[in-house]
Amino acid sequence: MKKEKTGMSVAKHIGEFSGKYGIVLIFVLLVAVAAILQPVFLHPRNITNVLRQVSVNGILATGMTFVIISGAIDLSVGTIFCMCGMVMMFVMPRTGWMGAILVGLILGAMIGCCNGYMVYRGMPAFIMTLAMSILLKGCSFILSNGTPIASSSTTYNALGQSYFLKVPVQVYIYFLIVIVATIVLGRTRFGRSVYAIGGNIEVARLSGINVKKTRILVYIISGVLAAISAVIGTARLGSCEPTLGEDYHSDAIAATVIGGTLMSGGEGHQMKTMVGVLLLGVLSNILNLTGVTPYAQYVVKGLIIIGAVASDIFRRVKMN
Amino acid sequence: MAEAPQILELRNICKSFPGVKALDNVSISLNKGEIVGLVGENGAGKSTLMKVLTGVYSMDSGEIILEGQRVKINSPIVGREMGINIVYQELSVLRNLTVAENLFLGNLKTTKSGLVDWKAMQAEAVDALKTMDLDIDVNTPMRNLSIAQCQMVEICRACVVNQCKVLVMDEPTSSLVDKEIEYMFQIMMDLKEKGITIIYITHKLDELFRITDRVFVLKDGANSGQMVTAECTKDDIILAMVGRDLGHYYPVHDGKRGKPVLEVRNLCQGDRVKNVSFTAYAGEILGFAGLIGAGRTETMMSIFGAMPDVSGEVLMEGKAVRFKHPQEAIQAGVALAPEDRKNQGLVQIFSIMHNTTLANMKGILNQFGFLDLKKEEDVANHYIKVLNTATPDAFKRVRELSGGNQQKIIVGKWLFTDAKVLIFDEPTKGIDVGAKVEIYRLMRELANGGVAVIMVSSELPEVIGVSDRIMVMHDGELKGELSSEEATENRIMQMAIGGAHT
Repeated sequence: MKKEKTGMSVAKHIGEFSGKYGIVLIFVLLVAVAAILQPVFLHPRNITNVLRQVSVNGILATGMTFVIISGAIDLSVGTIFCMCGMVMMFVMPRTGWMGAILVGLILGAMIGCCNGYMVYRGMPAFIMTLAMSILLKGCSFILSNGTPIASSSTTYNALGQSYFLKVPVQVYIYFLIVIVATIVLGRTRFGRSVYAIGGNIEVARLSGINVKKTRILVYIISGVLAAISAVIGTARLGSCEPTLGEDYHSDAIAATVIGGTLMSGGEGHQMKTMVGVLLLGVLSNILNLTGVTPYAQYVVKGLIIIGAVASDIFRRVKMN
Repeated sequence: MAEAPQILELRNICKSFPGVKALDNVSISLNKGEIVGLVGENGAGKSTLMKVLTGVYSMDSGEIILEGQRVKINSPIVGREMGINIVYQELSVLRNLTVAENLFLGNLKTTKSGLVDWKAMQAEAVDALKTMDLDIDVNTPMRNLSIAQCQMVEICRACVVNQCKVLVMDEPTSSLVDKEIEYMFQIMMDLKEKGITIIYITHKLDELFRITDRVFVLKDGANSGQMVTAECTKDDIILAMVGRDLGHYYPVHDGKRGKPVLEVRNLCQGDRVKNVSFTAYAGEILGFAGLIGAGRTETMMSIFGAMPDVSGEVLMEGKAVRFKHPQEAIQAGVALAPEDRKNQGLVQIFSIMHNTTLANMKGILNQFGFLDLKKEEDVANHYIKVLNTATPDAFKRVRELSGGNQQKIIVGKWLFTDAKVLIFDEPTKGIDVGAKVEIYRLMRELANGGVAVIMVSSELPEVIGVSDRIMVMHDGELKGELSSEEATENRIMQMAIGGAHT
């Protein structure tokens, strides 16, 4: 076939550029609008505030990105968050804060392992993690009798409340996790296997990839990251209650898909998910600063998610 | 012979996609009641032309003249109403619905009250099948039918129910066994008798001489030849398709048999593989012939560790092995390029680069144990060069490549694992002649380089032309072994349909 030069290829390059960085452009635009509407937005205090607010969702979205790239979904991250939070509060008086965190991480890993194994065995991921979510919610209520439990360690609380170089500690934790996750996903055999099973599980199997191990490990990562975000979230509040984190999975999924990760699997990037996380964070910050009511905020957020993902999908459809 | 009236003419059709001119002034004309072959390498524009004709794509310029009238076909529905129907290579039937429902798909009969008139539809469906002498119960769900039967139902839908004037058949025989192909040809001849014009797209050139009156050849989106079938040879067509002489179609058998590499003893898998024993030697191409469903794919998949319920003995270079997972087989030096490229061979949304290294990620690790993306690109580029793959770079997604180029990526992927045994399952299915010849040569080169090559193929000329030895399977059992000298299509067929041992 013959190539048509010039005009066509320039248009194609612009198309490719906006395809690759479209979400970054939208994000930059949003920040610019925010800065113009409310100059206070650019105040360092406000920016660190936004970063602190997004950390919990950011860590959950990092795990969700692994799961969605592998061609699955995890609807239980919100309730894993809550369950781990409750258990950590519960055991902390006996184990101390470090012991509590250890228990929380192990619990998150175990729940993830359970999800992963069942999905590997053929349970639809949607059903398995939805049911797990319902089950864990019940457990959280039983454990706490429906009331909040307070943290018994101020050192623990510092993880969610203190600053290092004027930046909240949890922001460092989030950034560190994103960096590690980016390397794991992009530069390790395991990471490539995650893309492969999401791209085509049969091809992956016939190429010698251990589907079982990959599947389970992905869910363990999601579970452990949910536990880490529970540490930050409950340390910030100094307590945990059984309704905390209920709908966190929806923000995590939203951030992931805004970042361009394909729901069908096989494609996506941690850095782009981070842009999605920041975009959602900046959005609620602007809405708060401009005095939009929380009810209206939901509407705006919903529209933004539809708009961001639809523009991406429509472009793909057009290119094919 | 009196010339039949012209029914359809495509005149100077042009169609561009961003960056590519897919059709460049293509013209073809068809007479009433003739069967015309449309051939060309993958990417030559056959499918695009047919999509323009059936209204799936709109053309940039050009004319379509149907029965002397200039027509505008801007959607598949319009095309169908004008009498132009297409039967695709991949079945477009709804497997969960019945034969009758599929026949009337898109124009269900309704009663006055607007509900579906099942009774009338069933009666008409029975009549429709009868006109084509098809013995199929109209109430059977499509999933219970064989691929051939599904195709017959599709043809029946196009010709009888939709009463088409022009029928496009896009590689209809690629999934059929010989007996079914015969039947398909019979039906095509009947349709021709009834005055239906057929455009027949195929990669199997032998079929052109069996069935077509004329042949149109496309190359790089343009007309490159038009011949009367009775007056041309296979070489004429190939020359027009590839624009160069391919030399020997099958490579010379110039290898020497080396040591036994893979020995299989009494391999069983469920009830689909029964006591299969054979030995594959280094330096040799071992062909596996048989009908579809004879258990050849299952045999290979069992050796490769990709099947449950396997028993028997497998020896790699004299050592007993038992692969429970393809991972173990690959590590031991066995590679398998599966039949279904799309669903088993390549991750379609991955780049060439990622697909090339998928089976041997160990090979691209740096000293810290991380994937070395630069090295990965080099590896991919190396195999693109060695295998002569047509692509601008290693970053292109494989789904944008033609079948032949996809097959080369698969071959590259397995070459990178340093396999000692390379199993090809239907390696040339659905790829064009130029690429076929390259794949044949490549298999021969691999064998000459000391690899034990196993090729499963349902195309008899190919099995005979390429293999040094041929195993014939029937119903899960090995029915016999033939050397390339003693093999004829007839002898293989006898064994393949369950005839006597030799």
